[in-house]
Amino acid sequence: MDKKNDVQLINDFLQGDIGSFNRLVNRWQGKLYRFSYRYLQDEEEAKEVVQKALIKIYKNLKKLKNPEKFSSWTYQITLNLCRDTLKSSHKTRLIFENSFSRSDNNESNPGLDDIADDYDSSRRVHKSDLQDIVKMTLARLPEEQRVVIIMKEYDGFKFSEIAEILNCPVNTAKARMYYGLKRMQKIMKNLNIDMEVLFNEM
Amino acid sequence: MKCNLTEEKLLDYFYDELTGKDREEFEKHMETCPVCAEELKALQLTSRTMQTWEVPERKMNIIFVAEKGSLKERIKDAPDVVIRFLAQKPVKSFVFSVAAVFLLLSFTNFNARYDGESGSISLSSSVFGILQEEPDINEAMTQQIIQTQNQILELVNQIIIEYDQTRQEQTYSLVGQLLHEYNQSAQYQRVQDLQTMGLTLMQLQELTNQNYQTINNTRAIVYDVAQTAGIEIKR
Repeated sequence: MDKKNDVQLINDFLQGDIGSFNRLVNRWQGKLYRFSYRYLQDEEEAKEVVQKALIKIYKNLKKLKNPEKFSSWTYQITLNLCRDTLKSSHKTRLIFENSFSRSDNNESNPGLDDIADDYDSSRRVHKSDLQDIVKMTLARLPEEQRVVIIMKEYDGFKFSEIAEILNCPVNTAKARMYYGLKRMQKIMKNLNIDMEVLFNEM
Repeated sequence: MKCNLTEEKLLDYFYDELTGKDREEFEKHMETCPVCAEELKALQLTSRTMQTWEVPERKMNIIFVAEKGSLKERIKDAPDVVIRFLAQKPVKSFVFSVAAVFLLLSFTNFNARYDGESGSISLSSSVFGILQEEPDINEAMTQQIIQTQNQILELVNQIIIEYDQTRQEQTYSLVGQLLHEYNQSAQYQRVQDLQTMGLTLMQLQELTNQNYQTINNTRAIVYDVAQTAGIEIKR
């Protein structure tokens, strides 16, 4: 039913067809939500970011010079809002900064050692455990590496597109990706989790 | 051990961004380079692990509504909007209502109020102080819109909850009524059963009495006959 591409919808919207904008919203809100959620790891904050982003997109779409760039422009807006949220959110900051240092007075944020205890080799590991490991590991990466990894691995952007969103050279994006992945592998190794064995068990 | 090929090549290869000759070259290289092969394996495993993280869908009911007329006209007859609560389909009607006021929110200050008794939401609007031909939304206004939208959603939730409560109460009272009726009919049945039993017992008693009478009569006759015949009967 909805065969028009983004550029056509944008043009229709700029001609005054509000329905086209709603179709864009419908098409993009899921992606933007998943991206924001993976970045912030908080449902409510992610929802709020998407709301804000959609309003910004609505208000500023006529200023977008090249509609072909809609996707990266939209992600730029969303990412900026995510960053603002992360900066102002005390709770999220706790997850991202303190969750991996062992602190006995903060039981809601188990440190890495605790995770390691949980996932010893004798225990049967489930998919949800893996999810937790991934979330924790990603949260421990520097922001610039984390963003690239999320965009590449979950949003499926090309490196050139990621570079465009982040406004950096392509090789910089690739380097962040590479070192981010290395770091993830190292963290997982420190947890004594052999992913290969895990997947075979599951 | 180190490989002089760059990590960029490896990433491009893994994420399918190497094409044609470059791809063939890299594949050839990997056959003889244990470092790259090892790296690729680690990459595959990490990526596979990351793919286990699924994010559930969250559908946000955001609908943008067309702007009609100029801003000045809209401000002139900016109405107090009253939305009736339709008991049958609260969710649908309210999603629509939220959508309807959404755009208006961009330009006006809104106060949302919910009257629980009459079941209506009233939104009163007042216009921002400075008028602009081309409205440009700033951060504070964005915040306000979202805040008001959340406020309205909260009200909608409240109404849905109240609606649910009313429905529950209705259900409970219906169940209560049914139970009561059932009890009454059960009681009636019990009384009837007891009456039937009593009646049967009375009939049985009468029958027993009759039998007893018959037996006594028979016995008396037997005694008479025996006496007449001179036979002594031991009692």
